[in-house]
This record gives sequence, structure tokens and C-alpha cells, in this order.
Amino acid sequence: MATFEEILTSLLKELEKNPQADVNNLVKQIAATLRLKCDAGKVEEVNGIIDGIDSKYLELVGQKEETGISTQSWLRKSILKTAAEHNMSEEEQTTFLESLAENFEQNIDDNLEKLN
Amino acid sequence: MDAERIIRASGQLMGAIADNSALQSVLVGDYVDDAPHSGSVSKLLGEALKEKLGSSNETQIKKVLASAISIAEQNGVLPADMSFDNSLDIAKAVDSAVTQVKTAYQNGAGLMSATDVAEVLIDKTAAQLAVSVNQAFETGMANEMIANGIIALCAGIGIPQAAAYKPLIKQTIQIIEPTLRSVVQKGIVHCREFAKTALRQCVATAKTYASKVMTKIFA
Repeated sequence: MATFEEILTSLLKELEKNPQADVNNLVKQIAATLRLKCDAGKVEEVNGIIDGIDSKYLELVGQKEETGISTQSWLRKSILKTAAEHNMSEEEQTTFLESLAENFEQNIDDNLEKLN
Repeated sequence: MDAERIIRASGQLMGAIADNSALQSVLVGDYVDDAPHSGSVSKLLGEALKEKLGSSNETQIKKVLASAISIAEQNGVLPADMSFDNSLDIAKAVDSAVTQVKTAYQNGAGLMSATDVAEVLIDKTAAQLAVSVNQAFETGMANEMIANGIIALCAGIGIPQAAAYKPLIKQTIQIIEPTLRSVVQKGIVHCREFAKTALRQCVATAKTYASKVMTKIFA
């Protein structure tokens, strides 16, 4: 069975040959070559999230340049917009944001606990 | 809607994001001296380091890293020090790791100040959070979690866990060309010092958790 390092090296080598290749297809190809199990749906899902993060980041940076909006305002609007689109009441949206903030503070403590 | 509560909550959120970004920059410093050279390097990553944040080469490298983790996990060969709950977890950790290394390179090469690096890291975390919230609703995970309480939902979309993120930093540094690695390491040292100062300033604001951060890191 190929190791993680071998999987990564094989993928990187293929990408170097064609930097604009569809990574999802490269993965299928390499998995077949290395005789590995490959759930294409899972790979597409993780790569879709990577695209989503990059797209949101570029949207944020673009809006900061164009409109001068702060990161804080952009994030608040983005979260509340998503919550509203999914039928959260206004009261629930407010509670949601407060709860998110509290959990993030807890998250820092959790990170530290795991490292010590 | 209670505007005052919203503004207070979003302020808290940004404070936590900024502190976490500073904390992660401090942690990257663990690998300045002990990153071994595996012999397998990526020229494409070298090019991506010099480009603007969010370039297509950077996205491709992140997809390859994330895919390698996903496949390794599916086949039970993921290194023991890498552990992820789901695809969102993998994507956030990979994005954070590559961003940290890239900004460290740009700082080390004199292309970006430490203040600019901090701003990028905070913006990246904000983008990750926006995607996490959307993902939770889109996948139906949110509905299930809301049934169990909003707290449970928030716990599921938190910021990247440092324990999973550290090995990825190491992995990313290993595939950088040796000539570029010294620039990255120079940037890591500089950004780490800047982040330490930022964390010290957190204490000055008397946030409840900041003193714990300081005690544990600098004890």
C-alpha cells in the first residue's frame, strides 16, 4: 500500500506536468495507478470547499478595496445573510452570532489544551 | 433585530479570530529548525509562494494536498499526527497551512510587512468561517445540529484545530525548494515575533482567555 508521502509525491509530479489540470481527474488517475480506494465524491467535496474558501477570500479582499468595508462588517453580513437564507428568525440570527463568538473563544482554549 | 448585540458579538468574533491567527503564527515557529528535507519538492509551490494570495497555482497546490489527505484517509495510511473530522476540516487546515507558509515567504522576501501578514491571516480565517457556515446549512448538518442546540452547531464550524494544522505546516515546508525554504524560515521567525507582540497586546485588553494564552505559551 502506498504511503501518504508517495500519494502526495505522485500527485505533485502529475500537477507539475500540467499545472492547470483538473485535480479531481488527477486523483482518480493516481489512485488507479497506485491501486488505492478512491471515493471521487469525497475528493470533489474537499476540493469544492477549497474553491469556496478562495472565492470568499477574493470576494472579501475585492470588497475591501472597492468599498472600504471592514473584515468584521463583511463577515457579519455574510453570516447573517446565510442564516436568513436558511429561514432563521432574526432573534435566532442574533443568538447564532453571539453563540459563534463565544465558541470561538472556547476554540482557542481547546487548541491550547491539545498542544499541551 | 438587536443591532447592539449583533455588533458586540461580531466584535467578539473578530477578536477571537485575530488572537487565533496570532497564536497559529507563534506555533509555526516550532518548525523553523527541525524541518527535514524529504527530497521531494514542488516547483509549482515555489512559483505560488511569489504570487498574490488566492492565485490559481496556490489553489491547485492546496487541492493536491487536500486530495492526498482524503485518499490517504480513505485507505488508512494517513500519518497518525494528522487527524480530521470531515472534508471541511481538511480544507480549512490545508488552506491555513499553505497561507501561513506563503505569507512567511512573502515577509521573508520583503514583499509583505508583518502587519500585512496578520491582515491576510485574519481575512483568510474570516473567509473560512463564511464557507463553514454556508457548508453547515447546505449539507443539512446545520438542521441536525440546530435540533440539538445552536451551541452544537457553532462547535462544528469552529476555526482550524492547531493540533491537526501543525503537521501540515511541516509537510508544506518539506516540499518547498531548498533555496526558497530559507526565505520562508526568515519570514516565520519575523512573523512569529510580531504575533507574540500581538498576543501580549491581547493581555492588555484584559480579555478573559488571553491570560491563559500567555501563561501557556510563555511560561
